[in-house]
Amino acid sequence: MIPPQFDYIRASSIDEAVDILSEDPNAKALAGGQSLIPLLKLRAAAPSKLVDIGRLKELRYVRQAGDGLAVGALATHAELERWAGPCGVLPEAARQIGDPQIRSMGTIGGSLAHADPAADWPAVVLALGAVVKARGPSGLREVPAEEFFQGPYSTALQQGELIVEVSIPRCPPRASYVKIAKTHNDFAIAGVAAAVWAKDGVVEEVRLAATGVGLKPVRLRKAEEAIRGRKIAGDLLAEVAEAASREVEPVSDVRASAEYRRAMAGVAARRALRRALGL
Amino acid sequence: MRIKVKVNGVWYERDVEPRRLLVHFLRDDLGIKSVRVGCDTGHCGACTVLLDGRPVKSCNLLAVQVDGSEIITADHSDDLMERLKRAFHERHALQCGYCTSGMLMASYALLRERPRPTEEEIREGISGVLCRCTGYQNIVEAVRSAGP
Repeated sequence: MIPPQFDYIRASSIDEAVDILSEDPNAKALAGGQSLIPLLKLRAAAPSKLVDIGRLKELRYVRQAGDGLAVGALATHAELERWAGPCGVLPEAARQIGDPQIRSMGTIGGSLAHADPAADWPAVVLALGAVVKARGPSGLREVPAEEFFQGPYSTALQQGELIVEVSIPRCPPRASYVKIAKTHNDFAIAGVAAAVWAKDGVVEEVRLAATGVGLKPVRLRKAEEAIRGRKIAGDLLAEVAEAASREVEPVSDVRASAEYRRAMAGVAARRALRRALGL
Repeated sequence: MRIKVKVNGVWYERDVEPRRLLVHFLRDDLGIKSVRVGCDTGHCGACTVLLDGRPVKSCNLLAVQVDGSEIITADHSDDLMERLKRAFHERHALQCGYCTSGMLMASYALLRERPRPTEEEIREGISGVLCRCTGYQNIVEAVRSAGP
């Protein structure tokens, strides 16, 4: 399969990329290309220009920032897989994305901008309460992860806007991401990220987020309510799983039926919490 | 667009269309036929090469993206690659052989990073290459025995 013709521009700065992307509505940013190039080959996308931002080293970093982390948009899954600092859920999740070859090239910013409804990073950034920082023609804009995802392959990014950073304000002391998929490197049938703050065996704060079980990644608010303020115990997990299964709105597709995805949302929520809490 | 790429130690300079996939650049422009087109959808990994030391699927990259970079294919020869090839031969780690160059590249990348991988790490390391003969057992054994 051969991609359609396009003009190729290797951006030498974020500003240059933003300029080209804001002038031409049919131009598209190319980061690692692991989602975009397959789409080009299928001719499901036919951009006029590809603006290659892959060499903008200033977007390729992971560093601690206060109690949280700042992750550059071009940090690859492989780089996050090797991250040994706080927010250990990042390497845990990165390891579950695609295969080593995909992880060499694929970037967190690219994955978020592509917004596949079964991708892994969206659930993780929702559970971490992350903020997506985007640069556009009118400057820098901060979009909370909860407002970022709008539907399948659809985000709050406006024309000319480029993700520059994923900012995690506070790394949770306990977190986990569990994905249920047909094979190790397939997209999620259901994936749940859990972030938990607990004290003296009581859950003080919790954020649960799911992917693969709806048109966009979602917070599992009912499941969170089932555990917030409660004492950590094994039987809580059954309640959480039940609530998670009830509140998601999955659709059937080639990978799994809606009913199966609904059931697996509960299973993934239970396992993610169990792993996060060390139960 | 004019690009310059170092492949197995040799610099090549060629004009390519921006839409030229790396796999076609390597096979058709440079004649390096060990790089295989398998599924052409980014799943099978038969087209795996090393890009600046990291395994990538060359059907999922544009040639223009690797301008100035270093590529290694299964034709590359060094101590580790020779040990791997010998191990694949001795353990009968190939049946039809179509995935073999991809398997070699994925395991070469793995062993460079982890000289003594566990079985789980080997299986994870080659998870991006599919063997349609399902001969994984012997491949895993070959990779294990190729370590130092």
